[in-house]
Amino acid sequence: MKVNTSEIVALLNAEKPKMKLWLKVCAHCSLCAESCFLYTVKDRDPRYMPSYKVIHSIGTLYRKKRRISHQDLETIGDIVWNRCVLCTRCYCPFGIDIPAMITLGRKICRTQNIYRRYDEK
Amino acid sequence: MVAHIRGPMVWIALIVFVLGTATQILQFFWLSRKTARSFAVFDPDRENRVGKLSLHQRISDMAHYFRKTVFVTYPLTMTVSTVFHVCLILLPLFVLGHNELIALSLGHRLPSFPERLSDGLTLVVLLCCSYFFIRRVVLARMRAISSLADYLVLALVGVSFLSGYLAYHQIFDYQSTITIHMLSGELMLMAIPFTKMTHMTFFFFNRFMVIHEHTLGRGERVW
Ligand code: HEM
Ligand code: HEM
Ligand code: SF4
Ligand code: SF4
Repeated sequence: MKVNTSEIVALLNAEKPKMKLWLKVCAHCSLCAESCFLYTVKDRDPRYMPSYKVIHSIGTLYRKKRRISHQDLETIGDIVWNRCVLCTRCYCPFGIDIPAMITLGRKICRTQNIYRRYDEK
Repeated sequence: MVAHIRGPMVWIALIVFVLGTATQILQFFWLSRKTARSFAVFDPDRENRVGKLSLHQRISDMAHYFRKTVFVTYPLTMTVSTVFHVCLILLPLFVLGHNELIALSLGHRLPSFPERLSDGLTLVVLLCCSYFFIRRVVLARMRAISSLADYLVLALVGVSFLSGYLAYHQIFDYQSTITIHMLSGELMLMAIPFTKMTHMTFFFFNRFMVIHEHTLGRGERVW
């Protein structure tokens, strides 16, 4: 499937300094894990940890930029639509705004027609 | 080479650190703006609270807040982290060896810790670094998000302290250990504004000045 990279890059660039700073500041300390109810409910699967979700969605997008593939976007879509409900309860000692980052991920996925489908099994 | 590490490099490292940190602070103000909303976070504890709070209310608010912090969810890591950070900031400022050098170049003598104390605290920092390293290797959730940079930053901090310790005790060849110490110390200082260590400034800005779920201060700004 074709990916409209210029659309993605435009959205990435609009919030670049802030998002890049948050990605850089993250100490990869995993202290946010326990604050996400999805993490605790899914038997503490690291893939549900707030920082994991951000690094493997927004982090991947800023790393790959134009090289992003449809496959990558499907993976990112799974993270931002199915593994976070934007409840804003996550607690990071530095106050990194995880939901704002996931929101940007959703915005980007939406432009590529990747979104949560409720009518599919 | 060694003369450069001992001389101009120290100043270059300090200048890069200071200018880099200043740039980070300017960037915060450039990327955020002041807002009219003074408290936008939904917090049931603070709902309908007008006027002055009694001492009892304030203490129970604080206790309630504390229960929601990482100090309660991860007590061991946060204790180690606090000890680590306090030593990390105080030691380079109060180590006798550093103040000897400052006295030589500025002609002013600054207060120093007793040598036994700084020596002990250096070992404490090294123990904390080992704890962080083991945690990163052993815990699945740490491995899932660790990158090479995390190990490099930790190694840089570890090597600065280890080589300072070895030089002080003149274990191994003093010339080599002190050179490694100065080099790693300089690299660490220069790396602070450009790596995850920039959380030194970010923490205070983001937790105290920006409005969000866990604002500690006045919270008057938004990103
Ligand atoms: C920027 C350049 C630096 C220079 C030129 C420098 C120089 C020195 C010198 C001359 C000593 C004394 C060694 C002795 O007693 O013979 C020393 C000890 C020490 N330095 Fe540094 N240092 C630097 C950076 C740092 C940094 C960035 C840190 C830590 C963040 C650090 C931590 C220590 C510690 C903890 C000791 C004492 C070790 C002990 O007493 O067991 N140094 N340093
Ligand atoms: C002065 C304000 C600072 C504050 C409030 C602060 C706070 C924190 C917090 C909350 C964490 C996460 C918890 C943990 O894993 O320990 C952390 C991690 C860390 N900090 Fe700081 N920090 C400060 C300064 C610094 C400085 C100046 C350095 C280095 C030069 C530094 C180096 C580190 C490292 C290496 C870690 C990660 C440890 C790991 O690998 O898990 N911090 N800091
Ligand atoms: S988001 Fe915050 S709590 Fe989570 S790993 Fe990054 S710095 Fe640590
Ligand atoms: S906003 Fe997302 S990551 Fe944060 S606690 Fe809620 S579900 Fe977890």
